[in-house]
Amino acid sequence: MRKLTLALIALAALAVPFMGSAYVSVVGARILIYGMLAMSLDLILGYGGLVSFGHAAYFGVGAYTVGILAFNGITSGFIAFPAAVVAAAAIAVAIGAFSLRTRGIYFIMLTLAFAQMLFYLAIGQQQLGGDDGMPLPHHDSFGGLVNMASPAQFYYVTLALLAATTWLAHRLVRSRFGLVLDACRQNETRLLTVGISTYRYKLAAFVVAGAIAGLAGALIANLEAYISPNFLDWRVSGEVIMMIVMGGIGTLLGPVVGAALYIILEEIVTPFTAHWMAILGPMLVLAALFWRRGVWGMLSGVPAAARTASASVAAAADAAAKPQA
Amino acid sequence: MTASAAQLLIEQTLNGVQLGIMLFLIAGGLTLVLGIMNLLNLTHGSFYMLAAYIGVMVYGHSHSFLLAVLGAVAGAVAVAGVIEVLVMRHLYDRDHLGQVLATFGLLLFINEMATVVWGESPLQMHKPQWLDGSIELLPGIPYPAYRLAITAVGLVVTLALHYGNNHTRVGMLIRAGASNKRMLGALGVNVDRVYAMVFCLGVALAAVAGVMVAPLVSVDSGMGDSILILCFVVITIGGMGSVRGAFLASLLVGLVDTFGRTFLPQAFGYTLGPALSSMCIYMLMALVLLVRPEGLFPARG
Amino acid sequence: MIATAAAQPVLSVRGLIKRFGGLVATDCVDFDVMPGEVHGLIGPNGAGKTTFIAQLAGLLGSDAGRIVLCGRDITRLKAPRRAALGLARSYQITSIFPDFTALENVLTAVAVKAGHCFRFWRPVRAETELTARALAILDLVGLADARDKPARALAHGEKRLLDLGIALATEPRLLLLDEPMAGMGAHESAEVQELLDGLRGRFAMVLIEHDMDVVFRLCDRISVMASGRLIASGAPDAIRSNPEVRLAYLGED
Repeated sequence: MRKLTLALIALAALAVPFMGSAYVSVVGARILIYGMLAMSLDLILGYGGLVSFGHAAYFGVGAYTVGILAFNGITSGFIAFPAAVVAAAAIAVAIGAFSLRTRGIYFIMLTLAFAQMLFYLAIGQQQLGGDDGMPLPHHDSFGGLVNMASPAQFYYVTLALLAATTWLAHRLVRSRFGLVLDACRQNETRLLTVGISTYRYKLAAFVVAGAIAGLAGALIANLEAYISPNFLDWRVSGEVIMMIVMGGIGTLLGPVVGAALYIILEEIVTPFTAHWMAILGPMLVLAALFWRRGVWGMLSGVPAAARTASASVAAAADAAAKPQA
Repeated sequence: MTASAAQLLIEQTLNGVQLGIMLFLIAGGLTLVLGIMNLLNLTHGSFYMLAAYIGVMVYGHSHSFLLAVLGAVAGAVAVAGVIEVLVMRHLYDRDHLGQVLATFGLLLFINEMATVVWGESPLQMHKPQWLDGSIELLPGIPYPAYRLAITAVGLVVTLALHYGNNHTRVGMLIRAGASNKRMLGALGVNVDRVYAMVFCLGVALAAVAGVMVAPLVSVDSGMGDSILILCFVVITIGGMGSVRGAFLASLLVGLVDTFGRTFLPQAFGYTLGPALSSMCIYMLMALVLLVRPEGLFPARG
Repeated sequence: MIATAAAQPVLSVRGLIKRFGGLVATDCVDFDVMPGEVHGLIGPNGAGKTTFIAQLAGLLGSDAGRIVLCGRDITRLKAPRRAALGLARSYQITSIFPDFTALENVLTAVAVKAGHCFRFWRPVRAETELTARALAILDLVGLADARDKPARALAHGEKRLLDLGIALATEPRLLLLDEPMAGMGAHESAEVQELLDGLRGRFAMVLIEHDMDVVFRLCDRISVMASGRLIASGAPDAIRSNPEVRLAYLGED
């Protein structure tokens, strides 16, 4: 069931640029980018139990890195993209080092506050457009390999990057590191008494998530051809959490589906009313109160609490039980 | 020290205190709800915003500032009461993610409804005529009467809160660790009612601040969000659940923010200055956390 | 293996004190645990046993005294460090990983013990050695059949066994057992006793228990606490006939 659903989605994803005007590719790319952002947060939220309400910070840092470099004449994607990832990872180290010393509500508030600090910092930069932000002077170029200004090509690059990062996250989740991270989410005290410093693992996961978010930021800057402080706004952090919940917490692909749902819904509703938040808000409340399984959970028949590690562990145990040749 | 430097210092100190007291009215309610019901309420800022809007509306029709305040508090508390029954009381036992989602959803809803009812453009409210002017605190040092008035009102409310906390039955329940629902129930107390009262009290305080601050700022649907973040900083510095901590932290944040905005641009120039000054309170928060990870007065275990 | 002749104690406590305000919960306790022995810790309620264990585990700081584990002073070390050095604890209130299967629960501890958990790439699928070790421990505690069951779906007694399994997976030198059979039926309780008996000699154990039959049957040595002080320590027979011990218990009754 799951493999079939996956295959269908993959086929649909590949076909998007052929489904109509360039506009479809643009919306599709936007879905993929926010999907990447949501997936990266799911890594620490769904698997690590870290409810970070400041994930937009790394998204925005990635975008601004691309913007600042372009502003200063550096438009090679081979420099800008890695720089965006590194910058986002560095900020994640700084914010994570502080925030991860706390738990629960403190952690939520801290991540939110630090992200907002970056937001105000960005608004204050008049040479970067202040409140309004600024257009991206020039798309990043990859030496003629890819034309980032072409919606179809941009879409496929983004699709490839999303597939790559999701696969990496998938491997991470099934590794020893993933096992420890998941155990940390379920019962950190017990894990501590087993003899491990959980802080390091949480920080590492936090930084990986931030790095992927930075990549998403670099992409959004190129897609919108605009650098805006709104990328850093805590509302984006909230929207990303919404996407994860809509799609399915702790599933990696669920958040991508959630992003698709969210953005498509927004596209459908906004022509009718500018106040679609007034509809989304109560939906969210209802979802929080009653429905935690998410759409991906329903589609693939996988319960929301299932972990990708479980299947591999059971298989490994079988292999271990077989008599050695 | 020159006369003008002294004047600036006194002015900014008073501004800082005024900001601090207002902040306390808002953050106090938030930390109370956090400490007692273990609810991280992202909607709190929206009630503050609602009160400001209602206040402007009532004042526009009645030209009575007192009516505006009463109307704003009543309106905000009414909405809060409904929301408490419909949503909040189901969240007290929930995990943090659920609380964040639900209160965030409510925030989006209320903010959007505000633009539906009152439009997208920010509203302005005039100070009441009898407070519009300056008072000479010391010879040669004028200070806006309005700001003094609201600071005074804020202090009175704070004192009333302190009295209520220490001399009423509800206050006693709260101090005795009302966070233990079962214990309260065993004492024959209607827990749902107490929690609802605490929630509405928090909103009432924020509403008072909202309507009093309205003439000083532009009232728009986003004003609740920025104040919410400030409250988080205050609570983190003061210690979660601690009203006393919130009071001290509010004053601290108010003063640091005001002084930062006034003096940092002068010290660091007009490119770096504003950026640094907006980061001031976050750096203060980081500093406090380094030394005291649980805040200055952690009330929760 | 129990060494002969001049064996170094696995755990050596000297002058341990813990005060809570005016109350002295742990009053200058000297305590030794020899390698491989099962050392019972008994005493009337409120004697300070749980506080003492918490101090040993590193969850409570001590006001004075020294705790030495295998020759290493661990008094200032936090719980994770102590665990890494070989001090394991099984909890009175069962503490496991509810979403994981029984196998994954133990596997986590095995992986932590093996170290190198910053491996991001290889799926646990390929780690047959770790899983084999985890299976062996599950077998030992009698949960081999439940290996793919989510831990939250296990019966209460099975959860306690799993908790024990997690502790065993860390290959401890000293295992602190705080009422391991609490809440278990007679049958399960007997199974656990058999298990502990079978583990004898592998590592040292400190066993807090209220059931005197169990204590006298399992333990090589018994120490008695009352009002925060260690009032007697020795072989089961000696303790049974010790007048001070009888006074402490009878006085309590």
